[in-house]
Amino acid sequence: MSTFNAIGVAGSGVTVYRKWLDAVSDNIANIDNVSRTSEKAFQARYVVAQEAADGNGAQVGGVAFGNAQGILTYDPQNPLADSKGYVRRPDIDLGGQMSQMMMAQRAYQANLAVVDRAKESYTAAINLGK
Amino acid sequence: MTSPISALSAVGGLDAVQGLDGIAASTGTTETQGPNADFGNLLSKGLESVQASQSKADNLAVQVADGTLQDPAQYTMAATEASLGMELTLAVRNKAVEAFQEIMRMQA
Repeated sequence: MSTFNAIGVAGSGVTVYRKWLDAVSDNIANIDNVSRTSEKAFQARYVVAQEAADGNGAQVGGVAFGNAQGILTYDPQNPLADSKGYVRRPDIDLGGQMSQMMMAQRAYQANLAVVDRAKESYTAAINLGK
Repeated sequence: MTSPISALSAVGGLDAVQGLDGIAASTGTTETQGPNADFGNLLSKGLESVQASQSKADNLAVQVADGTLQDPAQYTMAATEASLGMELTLAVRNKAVEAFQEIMRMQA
């Protein structure tokens, strides 16, 4: 617990949502990956947010992975296709990723707004009686 | 009958500043002798915490410059915290100087 605690707490939230944005960008960047049926498909990344260990704010507890089976797609023209003509594509929904991105972006901005307001409030307290 | 100086006992409210105890223990400072030792200790602890937040912000600024910092918001927030600490220090110093000058004016 420091003197300007609200800034540190909101800052931990900023870090969590930045990591969520990173995970979403990773998912969207790999959404068109194609792999052999003998291999795993690209697994969507999900950050696990939880309360910070010291009780001040939030932290990322780990990363969870999505479906490794992916979606079996018939694509005999693909050089990676197996003898029956199938490849694996990641089981990621672009619409879902876009809405996650909007949520992460807005929450990131909300935490920065908290930092801004906390700074205003602390400044007002410091200027008290001037 | 209340002495006119009894208002000074309100300074006992300084105990409320004990919340500063959470700041890292002071190192390398010599204890002030005299009746104001407590306040002096609090002040030096406060100064050390300001110093710590400023050096944290400085380190992050270096990381921004050499591109190793992943999250630029971390730097801007550390810088905000450091400048708030500096403003708080200045406010306390100005009040102390003001009080000193007020006392010096008493003999005129």
